[in-house]
Amino acid sequence: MQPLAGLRVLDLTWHIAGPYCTKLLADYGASVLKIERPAGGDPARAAGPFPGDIPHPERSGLFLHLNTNKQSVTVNIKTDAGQEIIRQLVRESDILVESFAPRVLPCLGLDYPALSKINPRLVMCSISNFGQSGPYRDWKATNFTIEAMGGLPSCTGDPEFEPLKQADHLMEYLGGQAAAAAIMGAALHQRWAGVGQHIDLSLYEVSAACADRRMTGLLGYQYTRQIADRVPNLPTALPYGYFAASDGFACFIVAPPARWTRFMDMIGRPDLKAGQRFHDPGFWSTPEAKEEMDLLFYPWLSDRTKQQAFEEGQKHRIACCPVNTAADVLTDPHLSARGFFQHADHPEAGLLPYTGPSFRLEREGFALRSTAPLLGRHNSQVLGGTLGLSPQELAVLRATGCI
Amino acid sequence: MANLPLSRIRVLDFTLIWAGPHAVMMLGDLGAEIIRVESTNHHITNTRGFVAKPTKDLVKRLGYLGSLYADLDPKDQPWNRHAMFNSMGRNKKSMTVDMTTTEGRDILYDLIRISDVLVENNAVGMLARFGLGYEDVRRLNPALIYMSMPIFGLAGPYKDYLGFGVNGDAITGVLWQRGYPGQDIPSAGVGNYMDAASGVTASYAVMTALFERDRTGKGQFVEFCQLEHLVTQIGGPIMDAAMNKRALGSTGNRDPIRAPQGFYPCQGHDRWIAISVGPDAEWAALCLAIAQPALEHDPRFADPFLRHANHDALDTVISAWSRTLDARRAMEHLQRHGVPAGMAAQDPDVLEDPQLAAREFFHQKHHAATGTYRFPGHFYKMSATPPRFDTPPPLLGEHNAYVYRDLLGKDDAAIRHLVERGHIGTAYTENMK
Repeated sequence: MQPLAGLRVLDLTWHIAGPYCTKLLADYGASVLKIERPAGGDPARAAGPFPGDIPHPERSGLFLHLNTNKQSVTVNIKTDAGQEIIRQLVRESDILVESFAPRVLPCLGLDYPALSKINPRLVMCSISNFGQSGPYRDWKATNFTIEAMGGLPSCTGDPEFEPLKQADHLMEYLGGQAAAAAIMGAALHQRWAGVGQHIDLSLYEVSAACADRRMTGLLGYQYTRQIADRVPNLPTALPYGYFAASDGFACFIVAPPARWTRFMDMIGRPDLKAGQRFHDPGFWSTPEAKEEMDLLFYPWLSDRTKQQAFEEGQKHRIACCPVNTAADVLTDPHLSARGFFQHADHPEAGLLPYTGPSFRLEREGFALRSTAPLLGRHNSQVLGGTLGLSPQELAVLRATGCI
Repeated sequence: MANLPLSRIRVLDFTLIWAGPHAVMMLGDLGAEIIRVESTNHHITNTRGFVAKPTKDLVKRLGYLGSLYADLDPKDQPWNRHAMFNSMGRNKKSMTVDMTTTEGRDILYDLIRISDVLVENNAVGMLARFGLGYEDVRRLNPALIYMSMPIFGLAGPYKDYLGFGVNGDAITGVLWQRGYPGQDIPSAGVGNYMDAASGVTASYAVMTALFERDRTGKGQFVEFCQLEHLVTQIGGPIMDAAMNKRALGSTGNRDPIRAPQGFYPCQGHDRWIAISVGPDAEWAALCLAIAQPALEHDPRFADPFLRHANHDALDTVISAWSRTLDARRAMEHLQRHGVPAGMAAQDPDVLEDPQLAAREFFHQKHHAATGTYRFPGHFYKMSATPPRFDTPPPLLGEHNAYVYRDLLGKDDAAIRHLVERGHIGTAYTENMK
């Protein structure tokens, strides 16, 4: 049995942060019911990438990736009947996750005070850009502006250029993870203490407290008045950063200088280990040291592919790796041997590889039970079955655009 | 103590650098008792500082991260003064023990018998060398949840390979998706996003195992392969590679759909504002905000696709407007007009931000070795069980008395013996490794 089997999640989120949160829950066994707008559904269905770059709401790679193991029901929550359906579903749920702008759900009578009256044990998690309070509550934001305000781009990239954002939509992914962690804490409390509660997650705060240099930087600045700056490759004598191999780039982290003997072994010059000056720690911070090591390292690396350099470096206990493209990742021998990607067939998108476990449990953990749902695929099953609506009632809801 | 979700859970913390300490911190926020297992005989680089006892001169010469000692002065307890450790040290206790001796191992066995969770992110096999691998300790406590966080996992051709966060970004394709278009990879800068991602989901992983233990009564092993976890965060590019047999590189700060999007220069050295405009309504708002109403109906910029095609021309106009403005004022001005915009904040901007102040994001705490500072807080608020910030980062060995006396029931004579044997202490020893 999967660890979260029996945990019932009502999912009123879309795009990345919320769906990544509920994917983490669904992949480990929770029953996730995804509520989508009747017209078009989750905007991630329009985001792509699409096979052959031809848009199709059931073939968006982003949507397919983020919505494995979920069920889809379409509900227009702007209608009275739609709101009643949500209230009915809240009675049958342990967890509700939503990512509306903070003003929306109170206007619809679906905020935490209202829903907790229906189900006092409910754990409700609201994911928003700036949180449910404060002067920026209603400000507009995207992954890009949220990341900028948290400070990561200011210390990422090249000081000669402008700040640089992270890959893709990583702050939204990070927000989704943080929401999942908070929800699991609240779910344990729900189980052990019988208490429900509201979680208020701010993507801005996730961005500001990001463990990649931000938490440390915010305290470090108070310690030293140094601002975290953009750093390309470090100017250390031994390689620290990204360097050109014959077919692309490789990443080498050889600092601290204590690793220099491994470096000499790696480049095939064990004879140099006899050199007296290398034994003086002072040598390694001189410009001559850098020049000398560069002359040894660059030709060695340019004679090898990034993958060859990786495997040879690792044989000598050097922390190195290739700079991979997504296509390289898909064919990586290590991930293949671990069976990480799992192929599954989808009625509209066909056979595709899906990412596997975010982590592995000794007993049953991750499972790819189903691919992403077609829009409204579970309307009859959930509204007819779970809520017991008659076929006539369903027909009325359909005719009025409610589902 | 308040009744928090994990108040009855005790975690033994064998973690280092960022990813592991962050995971454990998130469990402590939710109430778990965290006992950091440290040793006065072994200093781990970039955990409690760069080296155990750096000179003031070395601190000056270290790179940015290495140099983050309070007042740039290591003083006589540098291991208690470094921002990498201290920023993630809240709610943790610290004990010392020399796990390389059988005496130390047996002390840890006793602790494992009374703990719920063990978390470690050491080099693969390190703890097993000292009889502290999962197979060694599971019999002591069948309810124990033991999580290892190897970058490459415990099986597969790379299982014995070494790596840090910087490597993780590179090998997963995250680095490939970051960078300035037309520039080589090194300009993308050294980053450690994997460290940010791993800890958060790792705390979630422990809690799923606790949830399962509630049903089965059994503990288990959790393999948190940081590489695999990070790949789940670039699902779009992975699907593109699978569907279309290609690997598109970084679009830099631009967005495939939203335009204009980018950093625009502001008044002062290296000050910038991020602007991200999508639908036509936001475009109209931007034109008004930058006092260029005619631009809204300029045929070059009539829809998001045209704005994307003519991005450079648009950047020139926006930069001319932003260049004379203070970044924070520009952000507030654009937001008043309904334009998604945010300053490219640096540390002081975040520390002074009104939104974070209103939400009491920072926690002012006194720390014995450094003084009073504002520590960055939590990712979320909870109405019934607010995440805690009870205690500042622990000094090395600060909680030895609690662990040895209160938890393990050692008497004065036994404690004196353990001090003599180099287990109990509050300073790194002279002949440490």
